[in-house]
Amino acid sequence: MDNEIEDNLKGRFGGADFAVPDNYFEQLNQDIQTRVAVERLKALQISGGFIVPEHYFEQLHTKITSRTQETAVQQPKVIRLWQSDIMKYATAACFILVVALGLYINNQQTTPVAPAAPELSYEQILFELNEDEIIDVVNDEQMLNTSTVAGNEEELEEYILNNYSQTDIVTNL
Amino acid sequence: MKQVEDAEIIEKFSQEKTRNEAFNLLLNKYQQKIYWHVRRLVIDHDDTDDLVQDVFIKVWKNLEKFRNDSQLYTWIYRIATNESITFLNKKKLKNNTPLDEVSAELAESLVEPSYFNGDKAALKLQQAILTLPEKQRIVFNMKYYDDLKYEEISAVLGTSVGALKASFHIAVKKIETFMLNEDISF
Repeated sequence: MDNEIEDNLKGRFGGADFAVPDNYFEQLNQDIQTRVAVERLKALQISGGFIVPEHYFEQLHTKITSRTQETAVQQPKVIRLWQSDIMKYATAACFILVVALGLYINNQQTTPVAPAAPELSYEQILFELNEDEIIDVVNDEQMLNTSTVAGNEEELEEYILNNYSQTDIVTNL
Repeated sequence: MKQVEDAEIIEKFSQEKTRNEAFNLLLNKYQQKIYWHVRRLVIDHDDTDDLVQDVFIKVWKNLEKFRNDSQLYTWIYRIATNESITFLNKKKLKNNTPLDEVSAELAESLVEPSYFNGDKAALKLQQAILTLPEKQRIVFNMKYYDDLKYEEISAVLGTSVGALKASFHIAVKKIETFMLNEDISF
């Protein structure tokens, strides 16, 4: 009868065993050996040991509580500047805004207004240039030209002014 | 005397008017356990006295911030262990002494009558424990004397339960061998 029930159960549940952790039996062997050794050690009933002064623990209690009271007195009261995180972030945002504004204003005041070169009149550019520099540039341009301009500087100057516009001279320079 | 629950201590400590009462309850409950834990590591009573006071001052300063993510006892134990290890490391540096010689120095102090009054077996057991590496000694003391569970020791030291079991097993074997060599029969 019992065998029938056992067979029935095995048939239904496959005869599965309970799960056991990995390496359990190896660890169990070690644990048991350790417990046996500890029990043997305790069985020696080792008595006596470290000496403690009389009434030490009562005095220890008093010493510790005295030191905690001293600690409480010494700690200065901490007043929190910011009561909440919102205030903290708002302060940081205001600071950044002020710094950025200051930098912007400073930038506007110190940056010199330099006129663009094309806006300057050609007359102004020519006025600032050395005549020799003008002549040198024009001479370089004319190196390929077979005809030569003979004559003295006055003739050369007249030639340049008659054959080249102000724009040509300024552009090449 | 009925032991007060840790939750009650923490609750009372959180309120200023009952803070001192809570701290007194905490001291009554834990000061001797912590004393012996430290004493077994540093051996000298005066050193232990200083360290235990420092431990409980730290507890007083930081208990308000205790997050309850571990047991109160585990937290206090952790502070005490760290203070003891720091003390022993400073002792090594101060005397420019290698670790094994620090243990030998501590073992020598055991024979002082003002330190120790145990029988021969008690003396040999303490000497045997002092031959263990520092971490192993801590594990042995916590398991053998304080009977803490491996999970509790793991929370204090941050070491896995498997490693602690192995460490304790090796420690017990070494002590057994030492005692047998000293003709202390089991």
